[in-house]
Amino acid sequence: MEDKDYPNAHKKILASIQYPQIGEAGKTGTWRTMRPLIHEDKCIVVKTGTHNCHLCWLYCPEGVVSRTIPPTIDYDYCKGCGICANECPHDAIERMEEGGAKACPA
Amino acid sequence: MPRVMLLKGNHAAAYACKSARVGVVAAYPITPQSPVVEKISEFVESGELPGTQFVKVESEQSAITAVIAASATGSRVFTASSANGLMYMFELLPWAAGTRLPIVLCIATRAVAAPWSVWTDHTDAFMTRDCGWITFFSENNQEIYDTVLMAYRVAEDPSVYLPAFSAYDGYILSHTQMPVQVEDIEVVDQFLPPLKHHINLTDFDNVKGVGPVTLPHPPDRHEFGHAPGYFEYKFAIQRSLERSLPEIKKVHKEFCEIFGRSYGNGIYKTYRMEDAEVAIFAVMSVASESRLAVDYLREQGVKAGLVSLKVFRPFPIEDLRKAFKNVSNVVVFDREIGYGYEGVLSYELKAALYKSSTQPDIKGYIVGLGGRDITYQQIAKGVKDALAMESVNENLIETDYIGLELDKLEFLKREGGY
Amino acid sequence: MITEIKVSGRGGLGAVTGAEILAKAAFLSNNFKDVTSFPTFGTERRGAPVHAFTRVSTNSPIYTRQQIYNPDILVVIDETILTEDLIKSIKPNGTFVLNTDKCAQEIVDLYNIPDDKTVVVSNITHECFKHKLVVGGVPMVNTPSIALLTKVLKGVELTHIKEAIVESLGESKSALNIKVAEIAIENIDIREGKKIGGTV
Repeated sequence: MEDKDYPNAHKKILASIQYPQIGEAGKTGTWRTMRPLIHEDKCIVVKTGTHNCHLCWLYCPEGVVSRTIPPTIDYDYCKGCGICANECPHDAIERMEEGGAKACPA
Repeated sequence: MPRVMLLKGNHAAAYACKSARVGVVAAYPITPQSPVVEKISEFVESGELPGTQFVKVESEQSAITAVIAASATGSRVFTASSANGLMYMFELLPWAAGTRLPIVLCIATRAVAAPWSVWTDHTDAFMTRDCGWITFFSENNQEIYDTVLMAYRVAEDPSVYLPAFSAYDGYILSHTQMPVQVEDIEVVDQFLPPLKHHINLTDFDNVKGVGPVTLPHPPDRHEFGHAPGYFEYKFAIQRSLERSLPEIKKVHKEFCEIFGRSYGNGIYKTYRMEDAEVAIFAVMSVASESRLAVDYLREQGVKAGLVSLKVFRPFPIEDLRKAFKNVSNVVVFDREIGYGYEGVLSYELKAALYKSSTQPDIKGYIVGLGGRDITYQQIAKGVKDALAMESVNENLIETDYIGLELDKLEFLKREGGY
Repeated sequence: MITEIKVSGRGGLGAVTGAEILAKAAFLSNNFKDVTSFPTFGTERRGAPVHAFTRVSTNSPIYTRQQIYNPDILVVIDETILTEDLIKSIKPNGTFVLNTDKCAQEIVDLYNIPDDKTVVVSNITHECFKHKLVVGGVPMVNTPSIALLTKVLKGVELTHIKEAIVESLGESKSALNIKVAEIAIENIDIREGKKIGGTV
């Protein structure tokens, strides 16, 4: 019996609490089917060199877009929801198909 | 023509409500119960249930209150819930029984918080034990459909007039598709005639108050004589529950005759018990899985059988004494805990067999809490372990578990907590 | 005999609906005595790995309520969730159905798939985008993936799958699903497994 091997388990398993940590649900970047790609030539932050837009950073629900010049995306945890691409006022973020097509030899 | 459809358990319950021509439905959504009422609201919206009022409410407490009020006016009513939603209804559950209202409430079972779990175990269904309701369990989706119909028939019987739970496993049945035969509504009408209610609040010539304050002794109501006191009302509930067992069997027999499907004797079901030496005692999904454990054990030379309980309240003492008459061991698998004691089924069975002439050794296990999967291999191992125990009594002091994963918790092996 | 099928994908790709459509097709075929279909009951999250199960039985009622740990047929509708354990979980002489842009032999080499497994592949994601079988930016790869099973699951024909798709999704949505399903079957690439002895 497994519970007999841990005579003090009940003293250590107490309140149901959890500690927040990065990547608690694993590398959620693997959930992605569409990859967002930032075109720096269109990005207003890059073009002006100031923190004047950063809507992608503001709206990202996963907090994986950095508030830097240029903005970068942490693809380990980006789920590919596309909200950044949708919010970008200069259409600087393109959504690409992960993988891609390839013909099979018969 | 009866129609066989591929239905989830929740939808089977909804189709049963349709077949039963329920008058008023009120419910508040909670996982995993939500699809029952979603389906009923679809029926109401599409005009398939022309006589049904769907009452939108803001909580479970309001849902049960709405159906209690509607039931008191003489309507056939339905509601459903799970876990913490059911807990929120709790105050009103003894009200429904005390007022003798034939409500049917489906429980799609779920673990009760804290900690939160949306997954299944039977804790919520067993927590409602002492409310004065009849409790039915189901093992598959066809049984859910059939049990709701039988529950109305029993609950509305003039010798019973009590509310009934129809419980089935959340997800494992509620979200699983299985073939279900949905019967012709005209045939169901024969089995389940319109409700003849004992209160009838709409009879304005005889004004009455429902749920009055009662006194410790029967009060003198002058020209009406003495009214029952609290004690007498509660005695009547208990006696009616005890005496409802033959009625449940009768209804089940009639159901078999009309629809051709049977569930044991209507109280419990057996599997390979004819020559069994050790019996598994379980309910709902655990019982269904145990059928495979029985086959598996028999392949290994253990003469096993299964008793699957269908009616938990009233607790069928005489039936169970008969069921376990010829076995030397009973192994009980509880998917819930009667906290501070052991699994509820386990200790209830022990009490039922107290001083019976043939008393088997009874060993209980706790399994599958919070949605942890329970397999027939684990059940079979539990039975074998129980048989290997030299004296079951020595192992009664502490509860045993199957499927605990303490080994995975690293912090148990080092200083400090999690 | 009970055949156990596990459909793995990500929340939003339709693994659960796929398993349900498969169960419905098996049910409508009248070739099976009992069918059940259920998901792994998680808190539903778009993109999270999701597994759904279907059991079909030719002769006896299905009593088991446990999840499927070792499927006869594993259907993976999103290659990115593939793990070694998932592939190892397939029963001996089992079948592995995959939506991928690679061909069957490439998959066998890439994932070291043993000889006894039949491998069935088709590039469904690409066809979904090509034919606009996309909902909210997500390719609906479930129905075409399930359609591939008509090649490996005895008793379930394409007509049953079509009927089940229409019943589950309605007339309007099903036409495109059926079209891509047919294309997926046309593009199929199969590596037949070599049967090994012993109990299956």
